[in-house]
Amino acid sequence: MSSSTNEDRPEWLAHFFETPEQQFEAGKLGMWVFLVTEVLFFSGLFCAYAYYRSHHPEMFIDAHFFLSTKMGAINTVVLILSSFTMATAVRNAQMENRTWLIRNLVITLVCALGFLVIKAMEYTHKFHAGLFWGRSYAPNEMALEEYNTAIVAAGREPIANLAQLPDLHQFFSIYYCMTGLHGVHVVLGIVAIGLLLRRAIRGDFNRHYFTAVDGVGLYWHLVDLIWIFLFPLMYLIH
Amino acid sequence: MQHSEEKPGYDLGHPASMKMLWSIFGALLVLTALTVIVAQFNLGAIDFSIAMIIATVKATLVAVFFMHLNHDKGVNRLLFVGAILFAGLFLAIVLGDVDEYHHEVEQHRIDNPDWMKKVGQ
Repeated sequence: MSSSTNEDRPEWLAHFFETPEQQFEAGKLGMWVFLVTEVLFFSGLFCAYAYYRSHHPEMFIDAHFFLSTKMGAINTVVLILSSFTMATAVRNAQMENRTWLIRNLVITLVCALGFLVIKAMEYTHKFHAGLFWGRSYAPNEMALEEYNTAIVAAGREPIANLAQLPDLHQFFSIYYCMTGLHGVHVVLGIVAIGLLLRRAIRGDFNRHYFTAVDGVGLYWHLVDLIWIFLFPLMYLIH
Repeated sequence: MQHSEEKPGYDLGHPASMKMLWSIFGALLVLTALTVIVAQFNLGAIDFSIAMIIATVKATLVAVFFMHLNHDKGVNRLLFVGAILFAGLFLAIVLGDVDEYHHEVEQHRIDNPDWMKKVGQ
């Protein structure tokens, strides 16, 4: 390479970019294009949801007796908090406040892990009750008891045996696909935030270079955004 | 921070104000509480619409302020709004199709009461 034509050129500025602004805008455009594919990717599942719910509204109403609004609401708050700390992380990267950038990223990471722990608790509970997807759907006595408790609380007569339990295998297929795919995104988010944290500790970012923080931030907000729709669609059915 | 002697193409950080970030965070929490409270009452057919309107407002707040689309370039806004519009189109066509064939599916269900169970096995 030519012997340092520009001594001012910072090491974090890739050689094919003129200015940090051009580098930042190019990176961000790429991130938005990726988010477009993400929105369209999830839209297929939202369509499946709309299709099955419009054909079997009663199945979705019955299924809501197996979902805990409390758990769903806690997870919503956890994700909103993580989105907030991610937005402040971007701000701190721009302000060159390394201490608070690190703190914000750590809080975001803890929230993301918390979300997964709560989700895992919900899944395990359903697995114990035999509430699986598709052909594996085999509710047991535990599911019966849970269903009866919920419908009695809703002012309905309890059912006598498992044979009378409504067939909800389609709902649970959709439930696991949608929350599962969202969960995969949370896992990938944790990896991305972890790598970001490492770079933040190393002091990679400054007010001219914070593309990675911004990009991961955009991704993480999209994960939050999808959950904002999943929460009422799954946990607040009537 | 010295921004005055910045070279062209170097001034790109426009930090969001903490006041704004806190208000959006607060608004999102209030809307979450609202949607949970509204769900406790049986409002009939508008139940679903209310939940979806609240979710859309929340999503808009996240996109406009947390994802700072309010200060972003037109092309990025166009991309995101375009994605949402196409997702909406997708959904509209699927639901239109469901509507069109709903009576046939209902008739099939009436004629074959065990249909759902067979599919499940």
